[in-house]
Amino acid sequence: MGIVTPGFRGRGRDSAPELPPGQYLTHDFPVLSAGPTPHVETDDWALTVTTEAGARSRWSWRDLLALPQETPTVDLHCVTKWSKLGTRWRGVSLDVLLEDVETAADFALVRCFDGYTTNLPLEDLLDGQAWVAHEYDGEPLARAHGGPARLLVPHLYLWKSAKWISGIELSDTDEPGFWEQLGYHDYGDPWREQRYAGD
Amino acid sequence: MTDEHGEPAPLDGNGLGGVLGAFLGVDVTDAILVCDGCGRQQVLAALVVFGAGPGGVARCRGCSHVMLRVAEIRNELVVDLRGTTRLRLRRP
Amino acid sequence: MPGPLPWLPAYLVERRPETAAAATLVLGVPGWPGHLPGQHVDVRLTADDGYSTQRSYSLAAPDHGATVELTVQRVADGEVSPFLVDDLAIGDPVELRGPVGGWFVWSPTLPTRTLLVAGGSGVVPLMAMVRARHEAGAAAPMRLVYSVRTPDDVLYAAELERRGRLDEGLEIHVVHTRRAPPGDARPTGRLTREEIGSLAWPATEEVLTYVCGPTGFVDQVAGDLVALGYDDHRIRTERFGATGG
Ligand SMILES: Cc1cc2nc3c(=O)[nH]c(=O)nc-3n(C[C@H](O)[C@H](O)[C@H](O)COP(=O)(O)OP(=O)(O)OC[C@H]3O[C@@H](n4cnc5c(N)ncnc54)[C@H](O)[C@@H]3O)c2cc1C
Ligand SMILES: [Zn+2]
Repeated sequence: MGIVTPGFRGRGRDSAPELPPGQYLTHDFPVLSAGPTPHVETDDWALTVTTEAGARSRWSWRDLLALPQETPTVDLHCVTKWSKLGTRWRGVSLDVLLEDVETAADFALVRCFDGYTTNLPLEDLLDGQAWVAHEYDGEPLARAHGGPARLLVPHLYLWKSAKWISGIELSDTDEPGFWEQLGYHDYGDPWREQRYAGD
Repeated sequence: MTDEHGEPAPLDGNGLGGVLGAFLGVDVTDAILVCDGCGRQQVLAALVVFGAGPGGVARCRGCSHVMLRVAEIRNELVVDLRGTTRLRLRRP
Repeated sequence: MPGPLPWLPAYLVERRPETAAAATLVLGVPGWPGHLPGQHVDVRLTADDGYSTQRSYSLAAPDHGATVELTVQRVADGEVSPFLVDDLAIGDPVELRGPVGGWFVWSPTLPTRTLLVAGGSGVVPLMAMVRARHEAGAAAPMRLVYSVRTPDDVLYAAELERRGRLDEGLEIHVVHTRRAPPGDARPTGRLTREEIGSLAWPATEEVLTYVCGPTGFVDQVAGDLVALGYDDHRIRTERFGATGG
């Protein structure tokens, strides 16, 4: 730990209740980006799931909205150490999207309109743990936060909840994504503080 | 850091000088890099840098191709150079 | 740069208000290795619960030994700048890492003309160049074009006025984007390409240019200079992000 500067508290941090280790509470919704925000019109938006056998399923924006919607309220934990509690979303559960997808794959590589990728085990996308979210706090999801639609996997660090999602590739092998290639954790459980490979 | 429209306002490679210098012991902001995407040659200081995420991402000013990714991971500096064809450094 | 940059403790010695929104912090840094005009430092603040964050700030003055000067402009709702401008107490420590930068640097021994273009707090590292030129008694011509919202936002106003009057070969042009002082013939508004063309030396001359300020400002000015025929390789830029307009 560095030298303490008396009186410095940092932005809007409260004495935190039960947070994962090393996390601080924030009331903002910081925008963290690896590049320029892509402009994706809902007319051009589509989500493609590709199985390990090469079979594709595709949903347009209309298709997505026609599916049963859920409204999860979840806590977010960013690896840059802020956590935001009780965030309200609307979107489609991955259980619904993957219901008719024929696969025995163990891993998913998520692809995005801006070229970003992230990897996670397929089972972490299932059983009510993940959504393709398109509304935040009752409003259409802002572009800066991943609109028109982003992945939401709140039980893992937020870099797994890829903004501007365009596809999911299912595979038998775990292929590291954009940050995982540098040494960030392939799984990323905030409660076990899995920030970096080997944690 | 965002502007009034909530767009990320990128920094440039000058802002990476501190973390790179802390590990390398030399200034590399005047290093010359060639983009793997479009071939443009540019100094590190002039790259477009998005710095607020898990690490720093430096992109080509010509074509926005990712040229460098930089992260401090425990007590290591990790630099992923796969978007850069060539890196030229002056003798300090 | 003399080896890996460590975090150095730095103690606030003096705070000089510059405008209603900005102050210069004079910091004592034992072991400071010295620096060049244009360089910056990373400032790290740590709270008593271990939370810490860092920001970059330009060195506002030439190398004067173990004290350095930073000029910080308050960003509304900012995490660090309001604390530095308003709250850091005299004698209290922060940590500095630096000096940083080997490209956005200037030397009074450069024989060429120097054009400096600043937007808002982007004037800070350029002021270090103006001051270094003065201290060295350098003769090569220098022009500073400084874009700022209103007369009340001008950093180092009195000193710039004095330098512009007394330093041979130095010209200072302040342009106002929102409100101009009474009697200013220039209509308020952003620096235009034509205006840059008229304030700068012709592109055919050998000129080294430094542009600093908010990202949008720097992108705009650098683009204008290239469009005016300036050689891309003789334009050095430093972007502060969204802040400092
Ligand atoms: C190399 C370098 C040198 C720098 N030198 C200096 C210097 O000499 N002096 C100086 O004052 N600053 C300088 N800066 C900027 C400085 O590093 C900080 O970014 C600045 O002080 C704001 O930090 P903060 O913690 O107060 O604000 P933060 O908490 O980081 O952010 C402020 C919040 O306000 C928003 N915001 C910021 N600006 C605007 C805006 N104009 N309009 C709308 N929203 C906005 C942001 O999105 C953010 O959410 C420099 C930056 C770099 C990269
Ligand atoms: Zn390129």
